[in-house]
Amino acid sequence: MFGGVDSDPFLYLAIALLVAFVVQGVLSYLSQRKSGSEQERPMQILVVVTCTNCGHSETTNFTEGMFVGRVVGSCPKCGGKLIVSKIFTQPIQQSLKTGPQR
Amino acid sequence: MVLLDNGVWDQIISLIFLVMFTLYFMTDLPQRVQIYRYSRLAASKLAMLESMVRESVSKIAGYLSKLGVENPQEIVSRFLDAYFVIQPVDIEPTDIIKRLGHLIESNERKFKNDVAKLLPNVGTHARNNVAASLAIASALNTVYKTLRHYYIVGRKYDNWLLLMQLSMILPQYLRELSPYVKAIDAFVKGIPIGDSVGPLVAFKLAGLSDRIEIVEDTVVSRVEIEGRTVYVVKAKGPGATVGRPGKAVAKLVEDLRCNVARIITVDAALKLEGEATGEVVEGTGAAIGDPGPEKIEIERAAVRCGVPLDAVIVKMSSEEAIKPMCREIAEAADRAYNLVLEIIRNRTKPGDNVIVVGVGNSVGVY
Ligand SMILES: [Zn+2]
Repeated sequence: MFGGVDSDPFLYLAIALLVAFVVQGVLSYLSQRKSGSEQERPMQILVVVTCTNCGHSETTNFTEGMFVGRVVGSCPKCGGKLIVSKIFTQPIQQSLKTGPQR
Repeated sequence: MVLLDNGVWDQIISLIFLVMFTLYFMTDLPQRVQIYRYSRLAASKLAMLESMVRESVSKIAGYLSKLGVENPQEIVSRFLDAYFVIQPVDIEPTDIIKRLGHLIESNERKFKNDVAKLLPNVGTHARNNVAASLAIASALNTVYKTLRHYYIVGRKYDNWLLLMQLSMILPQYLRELSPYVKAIDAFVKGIPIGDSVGPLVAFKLAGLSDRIEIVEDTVVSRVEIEGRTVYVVKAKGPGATVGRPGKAVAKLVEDLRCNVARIITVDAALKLEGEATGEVVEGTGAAIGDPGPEKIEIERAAVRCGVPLDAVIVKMSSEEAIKPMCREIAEAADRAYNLVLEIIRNRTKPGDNVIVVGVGNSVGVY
């Protein structure tokens, strides 16, 4: 091995340590980046409006002034009261996968 | 290499090793280097914490200027340091809970009156949102100042143990406190937070029926559910307030002359790491996480009238409780609502009076 150099055990030890340090460094860097990106996930605020009469519901984006229990219009199906029944946040990627309806 | 023979190189290398060995084991240089590293780490994390305080202040200032307040930055910083509560004497336990309740109440009233003076032309809900945001910014500022105190003490006396502890605990604090800055967004825009799950369940029960303000900032609605008369208590929404659910229950029980079959409290509860967010569990007792005065009112009222207490909790982390409500918690509200209905169906008879309390912050929930 090593082109015929005398097999010095300290050389092998040094190389092994160096490799271990590099691997450890790369791993810790990767794990740090992963946890960093997890925190920065963009969120969207969704609003579920439900008809008090027939239970028809749809999901829209949040606009300022909305709150759970606010009457936002009348139901397209039966004309009953449409009220905000839920407001929640979710990561934006998730909604692209599942689609806008729920 | 060519000029010196191998023996000299060996000598130089062993000299270097000797010097390094001496420095490492015979002096406190390694500790000095460590102190330097720890204190730099702590300083950078403290700077991040300070920027979080600044961010929250500027968010509130932005909201205030949108409401038409002049000099918002100055006003917010004036609110940051005021309004601490001195713990009541606890070596004399007689009526300690009354004294604590009194102190908390008068502090809140003072705070609200000052906010009201500041924003005379703003509605109650927006005013409550400002008050809640200010309370958060003030809490963040207190934590920052305390940690800064320890950092400066550590630097001043070269206390490397203190600096080491700080640099180790600060990343955790930063992660735990960053949701509070996000919570200000929620309060300013009126988005429900995770802790609003109790009021959300109360809303599902009460619907749009009339809200009667039974005590300050707390409303009760009367609805019929399968022959039972259900009194739904929650904080007055959609502004950010937790109300006084304990006092409301005590008053309600008194008004009903103890003619109550069950008191059901619904609240968010801290999950253990590893438990799922949005798990709905039922237990016994008053589910309410105040310092004590409100909880004891519910317990006393229940004991006085012999009313069984049911607790329904929705599990979440402390981060999720203060951040805008996530989907898992919003869906858990449906399950908690069904569990409350089940309790009413199975443990009370038609004609009974039942009290359901949705404990929590009612920001964004009518
Ligand atoms: Zn309809």
